[in-house]
Amino acid sequence: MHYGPICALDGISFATQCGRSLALLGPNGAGKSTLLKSIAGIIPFPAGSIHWRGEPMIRQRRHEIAYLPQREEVNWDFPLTVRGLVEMGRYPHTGSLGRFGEQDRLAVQNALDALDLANLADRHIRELSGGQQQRAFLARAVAQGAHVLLLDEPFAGLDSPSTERLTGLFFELKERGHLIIACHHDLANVATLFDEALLLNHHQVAFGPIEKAFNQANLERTFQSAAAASF
Amino acid sequence: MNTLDFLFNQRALLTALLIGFANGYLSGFIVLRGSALMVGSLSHTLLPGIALAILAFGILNAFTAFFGALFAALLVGLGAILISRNSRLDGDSALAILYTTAFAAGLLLIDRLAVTSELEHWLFGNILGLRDSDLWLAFGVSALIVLTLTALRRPLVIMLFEPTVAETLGIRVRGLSYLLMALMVLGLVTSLQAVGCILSLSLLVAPASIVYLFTNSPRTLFWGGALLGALAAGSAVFVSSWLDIRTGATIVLLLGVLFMLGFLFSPRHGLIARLVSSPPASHNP
Repeated sequence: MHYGPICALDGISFATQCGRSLALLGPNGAGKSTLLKSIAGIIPFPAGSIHWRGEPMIRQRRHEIAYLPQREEVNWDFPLTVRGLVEMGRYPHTGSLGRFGEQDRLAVQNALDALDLANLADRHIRELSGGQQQRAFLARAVAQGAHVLLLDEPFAGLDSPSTERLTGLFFELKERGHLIIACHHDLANVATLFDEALLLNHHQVAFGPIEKAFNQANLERTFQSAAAASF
Repeated sequence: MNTLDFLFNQRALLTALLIGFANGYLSGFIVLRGSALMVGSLSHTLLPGIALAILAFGILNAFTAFFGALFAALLVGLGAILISRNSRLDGDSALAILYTTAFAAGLLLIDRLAVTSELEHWLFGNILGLRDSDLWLAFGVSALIVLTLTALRRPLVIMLFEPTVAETLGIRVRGLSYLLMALMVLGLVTSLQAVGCILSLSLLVAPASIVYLFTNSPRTLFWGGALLGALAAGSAVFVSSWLDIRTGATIVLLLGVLFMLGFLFSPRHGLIARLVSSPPASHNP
């Protein structure tokens, strides 16, 4: 994966499964967001492949993977309520000209209930707290019927109660069989939040269960090369 | 008012309502896309388009002006995309170079053509001088704009909110972008007769900008923009006829006044509401 002459990602290879949570760890500019967007299909990659359900990923199955952007990437002034946002998740099921039917309305209501947003459904997205905004985007992914949730720094900027709430949701979503892959920067709570870790710095440093991959030696290899590069 | 005046006014009123409605509806998409400046640039291509129409067809009427302006706007719009994709230059810079070049060429061309008196109608609009064929053209194009946008409203809104995520949901973002641009050009060209080249931008930006100050729903933004566009254009026909002033300028002025009122007095997003409201409370989870 290249941006012009700059190599953003190289030699990344890992396999995981639904019902788990995977942390992408690495210094700023290591390629974590690029990897997440590549998996989502937002950034095309010139080499390599992604397999889903044992087969190469095809466009028709992309909706089974939901990407949740970083908060600063979202236009919060867009005239959109929480319900409107969650309804967007039904697009892969209705298509351009299809009718938004009873089944879609039910899926939206279930997602709002599951994420405890039913009483905020008619609020504008800007009028939500940071934690509620994350939950609204998660609700869209649930309404979409996505199995894989790709989250870009979901805990960034959240206060302590919101972090706690989102942590609880992580476990609930895993129990329901979702696979969570998230860029994460707070090394203090990696072990409690995630089952697996992928440490990367343009290339893969380590991948595996959290108790094996997330260790001092791997962290030094991941973050020291960034420190050396910055001099 | 004599019978002839009445007929002219009736046709003018219907055309104003149609164009105001369709362009007001379209304005919601333009505001959400943040394309007002791009549409402004494209509106400058209408003049060279008209010059081209005179050169190619030998006469200037609604149909020749329509096709000339459409051709020039599409040529400049698509040319800008082509240049930005195949050079280091961004789309705005490419568009600025192309539309000023086209405008300059149009000016030089018009100096050579002996149509200065008629030309003023196209520069500033002449809604009172319309024929039945002009009305039918406005009807056809307005219907095409409103029906297409209504049918594709859902994917368009997702694309305007999050273009990158829209692609992952199966939306053909590039195709929709081109379609939206083509509809913007059509909207510009139809508003030629009502308000003229120079003021056409207003009908494509102002109606939804006003509604945007009052609503949190895209649907209200689009239909509210349409109703406001039709209302402003329709009222302007009466006001301008009563005061004996230019109709096109009256439409634009009315929309400008309504926007200023909305900007000042909108209960949620107005300036006065912002000034008197207390600082925003801290968010709770």
